[in-house]
Amino acid sequence: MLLVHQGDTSAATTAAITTAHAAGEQVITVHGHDPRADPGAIIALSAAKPRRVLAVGAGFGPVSRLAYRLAVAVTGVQLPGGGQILFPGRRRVALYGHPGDPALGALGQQDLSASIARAKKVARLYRPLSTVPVVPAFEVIATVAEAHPGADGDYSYQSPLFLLRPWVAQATAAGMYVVPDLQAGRDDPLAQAKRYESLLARPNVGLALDPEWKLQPQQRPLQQIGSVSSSQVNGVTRWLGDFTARHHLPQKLLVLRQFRLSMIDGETRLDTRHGDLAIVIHMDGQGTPRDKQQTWDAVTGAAPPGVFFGWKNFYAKDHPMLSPQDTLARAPEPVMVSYQ
Amino acid sequence: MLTGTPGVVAAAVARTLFASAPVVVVAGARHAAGLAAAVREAGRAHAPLLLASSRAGAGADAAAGLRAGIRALHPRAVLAAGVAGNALSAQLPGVHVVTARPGCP
Repeated sequence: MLLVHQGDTSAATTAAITTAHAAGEQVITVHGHDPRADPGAIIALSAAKPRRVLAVGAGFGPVSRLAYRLAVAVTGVQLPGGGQILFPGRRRVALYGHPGDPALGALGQQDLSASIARAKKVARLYRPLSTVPVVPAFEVIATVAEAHPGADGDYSYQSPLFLLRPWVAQATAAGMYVVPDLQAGRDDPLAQAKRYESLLARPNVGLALDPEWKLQPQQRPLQQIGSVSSSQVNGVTRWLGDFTARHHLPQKLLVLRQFRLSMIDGETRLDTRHGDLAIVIHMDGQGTPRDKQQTWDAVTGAAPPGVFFGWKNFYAKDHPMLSPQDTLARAPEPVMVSYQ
Repeated sequence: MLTGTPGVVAAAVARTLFASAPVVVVAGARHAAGLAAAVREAGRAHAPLLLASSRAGAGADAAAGLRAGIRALHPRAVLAAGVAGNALSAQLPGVHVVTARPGCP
């Protein structure tokens, strides 16, 4: 099989394609240089399951990286909205909350079927405004910060898998992306993430860390704004990236919520180089449009290179809540918009 | 991963996909009309397409690389499209170089 970059009309590629055709070899053109980003190439590679691939052009390199990307592409598994890469070619619009708890966000204000319908309705508002396909999503609070320490003393209620599975399964069937959210309290975010490994094994499930609710050993909830260190986040990204690679999954989303710079200690040291992850710094501030814009400017200005940005709209706590048009007028344009 | 000059890439593809070929088509890498004709000829003959560097100063290495690429395919004939058949013939003693398909086996 010969892999060439779509639109490459160089003499070398022309000769390579001609020779491949003469040899009866299949030629696959890739939009861009990452086959995971091209739904058509994924389908072709998955159908062909090639034992040998020749790729023309340095843009595909290095070899080890291309070999890994091809191994993911041949699985044929695609994300909701197509392809195996999250951004910038797609936009997620999500309902945020906890199943059955209306106080924690829009997702819990109706039953599962109605939540799916509501998420799709909100996402539809963005379709005419977005230059890329819009994918509806759930952000499900999986571990919920609590005022009381609980039996394990960590101030974090860990939703059992049986509670979350139907939400993930039905959202998957509805073509949605799902992001379990961790409010870790005094627990270790990485340990919490590992407890949801069976959900994370699904290609359309990512992960969110909410530093606001991460407590230091002597801290209690609601007495301060919590924080995570860059090393804690890097521990999660390393594990999640390795997990994604080991299972040859499409790129996985990691959301980091932030409305104060102190919430991510040592932010410039975040490791954003994992090709298997798309990291979104999610502006989680509420209030007037002016307040939110100031928070947005601070959050986007402090972020390290290699991350994307998300924006959250609060139905009750924004005054007023931005319209979809105004939301997408932010710069940089958010790749993910959530509704709480 | 195939990178390098057009001639190197074309030869590498041919060598990988063909153990041998009775006919090899050679075109000038910078001669668009000749390349288009060569693509057609290679398609008709189910032959690999190699590229000769027509860049001034391409040097002996490029010519030697092309010769090696052709010899590796053990052709009985080389069809030159957009390159000087005489010069190619002089570089490939024992190989039948033609400039038109009827001369091919």
